[in-house]
Amino acid sequence: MPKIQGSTTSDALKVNTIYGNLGYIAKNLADNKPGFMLQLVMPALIFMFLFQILPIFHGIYTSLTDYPLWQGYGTFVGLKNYISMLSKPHFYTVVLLNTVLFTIVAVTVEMCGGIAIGHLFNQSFRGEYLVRSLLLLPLMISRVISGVMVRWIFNDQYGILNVILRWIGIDPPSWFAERSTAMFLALLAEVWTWTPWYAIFVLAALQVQPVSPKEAARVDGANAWQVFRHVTLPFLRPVLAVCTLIRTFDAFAQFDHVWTITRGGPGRSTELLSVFAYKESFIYLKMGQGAAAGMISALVMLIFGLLLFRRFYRFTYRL
Amino acid sequence: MCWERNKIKISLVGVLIAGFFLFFSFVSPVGAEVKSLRVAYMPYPVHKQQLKWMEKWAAERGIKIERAPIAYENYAQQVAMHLTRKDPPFDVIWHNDDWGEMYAKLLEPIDDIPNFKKVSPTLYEGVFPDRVPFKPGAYRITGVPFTTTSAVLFYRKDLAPFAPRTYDELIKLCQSLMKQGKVPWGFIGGTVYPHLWGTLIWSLASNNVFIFEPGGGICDTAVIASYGFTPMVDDPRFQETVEFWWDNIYTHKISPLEVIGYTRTDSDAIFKEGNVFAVWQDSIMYGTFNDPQQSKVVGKVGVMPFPAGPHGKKASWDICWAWGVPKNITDERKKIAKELLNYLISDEVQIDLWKETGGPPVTVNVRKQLYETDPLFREVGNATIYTDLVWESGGYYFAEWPKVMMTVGEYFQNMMKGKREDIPAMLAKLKAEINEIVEPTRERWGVKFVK
Amino acid sequence: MKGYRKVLWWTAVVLVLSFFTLPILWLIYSSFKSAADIYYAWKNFAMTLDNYVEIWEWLGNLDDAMINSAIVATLSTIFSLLVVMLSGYFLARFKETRSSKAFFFLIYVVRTIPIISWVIPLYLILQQWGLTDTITGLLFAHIAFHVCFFTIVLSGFYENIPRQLDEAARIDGCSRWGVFWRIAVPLIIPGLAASAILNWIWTWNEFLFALILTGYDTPMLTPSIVQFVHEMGMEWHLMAAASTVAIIPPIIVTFIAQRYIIMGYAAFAHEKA
Repeated sequence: MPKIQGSTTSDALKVNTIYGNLGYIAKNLADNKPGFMLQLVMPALIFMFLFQILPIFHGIYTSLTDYPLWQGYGTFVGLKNYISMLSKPHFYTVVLLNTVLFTIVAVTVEMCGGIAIGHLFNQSFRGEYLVRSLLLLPLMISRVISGVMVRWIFNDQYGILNVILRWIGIDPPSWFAERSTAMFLALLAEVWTWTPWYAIFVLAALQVQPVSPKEAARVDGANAWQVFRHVTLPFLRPVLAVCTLIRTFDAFAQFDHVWTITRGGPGRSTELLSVFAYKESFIYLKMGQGAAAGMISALVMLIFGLLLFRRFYRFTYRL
Repeated sequence: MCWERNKIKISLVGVLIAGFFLFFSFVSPVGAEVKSLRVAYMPYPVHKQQLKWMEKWAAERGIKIERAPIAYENYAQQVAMHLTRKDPPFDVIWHNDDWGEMYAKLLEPIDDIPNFKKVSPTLYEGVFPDRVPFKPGAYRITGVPFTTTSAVLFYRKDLAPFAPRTYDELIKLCQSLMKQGKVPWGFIGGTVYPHLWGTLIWSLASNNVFIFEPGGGICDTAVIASYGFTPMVDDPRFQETVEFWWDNIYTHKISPLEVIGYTRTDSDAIFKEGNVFAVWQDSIMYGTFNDPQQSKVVGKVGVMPFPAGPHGKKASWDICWAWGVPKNITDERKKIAKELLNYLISDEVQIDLWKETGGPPVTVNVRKQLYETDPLFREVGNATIYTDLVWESGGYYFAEWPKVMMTVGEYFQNMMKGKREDIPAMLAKLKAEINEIVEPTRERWGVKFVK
Repeated sequence: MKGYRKVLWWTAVVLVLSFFTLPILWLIYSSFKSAADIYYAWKNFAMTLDNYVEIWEWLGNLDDAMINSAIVATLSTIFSLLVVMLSGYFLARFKETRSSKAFFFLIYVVRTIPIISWVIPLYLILQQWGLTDTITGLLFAHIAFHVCFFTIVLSGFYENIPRQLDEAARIDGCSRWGVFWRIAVPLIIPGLAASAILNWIWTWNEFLFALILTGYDTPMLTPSIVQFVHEMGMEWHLMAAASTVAIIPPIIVTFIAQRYIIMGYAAFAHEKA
């Protein structure tokens, strides 16, 4: 029972009573299991609802309006933003194609590199701690900085890489002037940053991998590749699957690298969906169009994510 | 019991969260007396010079100048975010010409300050209009110009027997210099966003053509509107200019293909090292090119207007750099901000601006005075503000302009990478695309597509 | 390993490490070169500290930016850990219940949606609420973003706690909250430390939120780095110096707390390391 204290004349006691009642409610809630669960999950739900889910619905509305940023309000125009965006070949041949290619190439290269590096470092040696810290660095510095760095190293005239290439006698390509090379630079920054992430997961998994199946395979006469293919890889599968899904979401939404390195250029040929949406919103000041691009990219990822949800769940919990 | 103790923990968490909300919802009140002026500027030499004088002015009045850098990088979004607030955090902002229509809503008209009468009228006609609801007619100026940067051709006067006046002369001169092995490249300019201006658009000007009808030196949005925002990118003169660039890269080989990936800093650095004969840049770079610490071409730099195309005149493109005052600040602040801007175009500051940065002054009397006394100003001035055809403005002032500019840039780069025969077809496509982009503008202005 | 294999192995390690570290070293080296020298890679080896003085002058508020970045990173760490400490426990402890599965599904779905899709409308919403250009607004966005990832990380740690412990405590008369505070939380302190470090560094490094949601009143470090792109070009030497300033804290943390970083990532994949 809650303690009913004091008289109605004392304000301080009134507060105390209210507090006592609240405490009682909280305690009662906590005593039954659903109530306790609700209390646990409530803060997370509130934040997610207010700052992620609500904006998404607001975005759906905004994408149906003509909303110049400086005007501060939008006028309803229906599906015009979507039609004008989806009726242009630029959207398919450049924006969508770039985004999909970028995601696939980045994730694949990172995964292969990560597996290789994980295997390379999977032994104890002197300076292990230092080496691992160095390997972690790309993951720990800001994406803006790695973008600036790549842009500086590949600077057409004075970037260190071009200087070295010319010194060797190779004529460097004009990195920022071609779609393919500009895209390559963005990918390079992405791979540079995220390969260590895979390497760490692979390394962590390899260190707890039981030795016996490997040895059994070796006794059966399997060579190193066969051991990797038939013993280690299946063992790594759940980790790789979880990482790859999360990486895919992030690579698809990549903004920082492309924005700092190419800014969508040359022309608009290296725009990704997120860069496209940002430009429409904050450079051309058409919030409606930007929101529409955002909604398209959300839709694509949502479908992709829903198709793979079961696997993600199973692999996370090793079911 | 566990619960009794945990109640304390839970309430602590509650207090923490409540404190968090309280702490950050605290808004500092704005006093009636103005003790500081907040200036949003772009970290750039001319702006720094202005800040120096702002601080001097403010110190005399016991006011503090608070600096707030806003880069070009996210300028439009920052300005929209801050100036649509009820209490904008700036009293003076730097005024960028690419987002004109926005300013009509957000900035205070400032043409009532006393020194404004002295500003060269060509400089602000058609510029910085306050045209709610974007109809031609009476308008007021929302920006105080404090300097112009004029697009000029910097060239190596030690190498050139004469200053090239036309496209053809420039090409021939570059080719002969490259053949003699004096410079690796003929001429270059910055092209990458947001520096598209450096190349194509300036060379359009020198061939007497532009993106919208009627071309020539006219950038007044009202005039453009009276022509129905008709793009003139399929004009033969436009095609000529694009082909000029294409030929420079592939036929005459006086520009590297990389030029389409250069920022202005890249091309400046090449020029400063002495690896190129000529570079197209803003006139305010004159000081940097003659700085012995940074440059190897000190004293060898000549300045001249653009070489003219086959249809061109001797032309220059002067863009004013300006300050603006937000609409939403208090009246006391507006008053002091306007006093400050009035001071910035006084003779003293204008002369110092020229001496320190090489930025040409905007007031007629100072221009005249410097022209008579300063030989250097005469040289730069003859190349810029005293040419036959002066385009003293930045761009067009409608909301779709940034997108038009980007689209032109994209097509330009694609044309440079493509075949010469494809250029006319690409230009026709570009025209269709621009037409589509400016359709909302036409609706807002109530004009129709003429052709 | 012996002989040539060892040499081969070390060569591979050195190659891999130089791929990942040399660019950073080059950036730091560039930050010590003057504006005039920075364009010449092989000439003029003179080093100077002028750039560091100049970035302060140039921006005028770099110290504010650093302080703000640190404040946002710290507060976002504290508050998002408070939130995910609870939701992670929910996910791990009630794994079998339908509501927990639904919650897992929800965070997964929200995580699939690209940041740009919700941050553009979030900007408009915060602008209406008067929360743009405040630390609070930025903080909310960060907390919301962190919920998804760190709920899964922490649930990975909670799952390692044997359930018998809870049951024993319940029989001894502890309430559910009592079990949570006295049994579960103390046992995942390493996990909290790992999450805190990752969370802090991520927030410190975050660019898109800071670019869109902040402005004059709340300068942030990462947008400050790109302030050196101006209408006339870029100031490479200043960009390099500002970048160097910004990477110092993450580098220190990486060297000191490497074990925790790896532990946090491993827990995300429910990997015991």
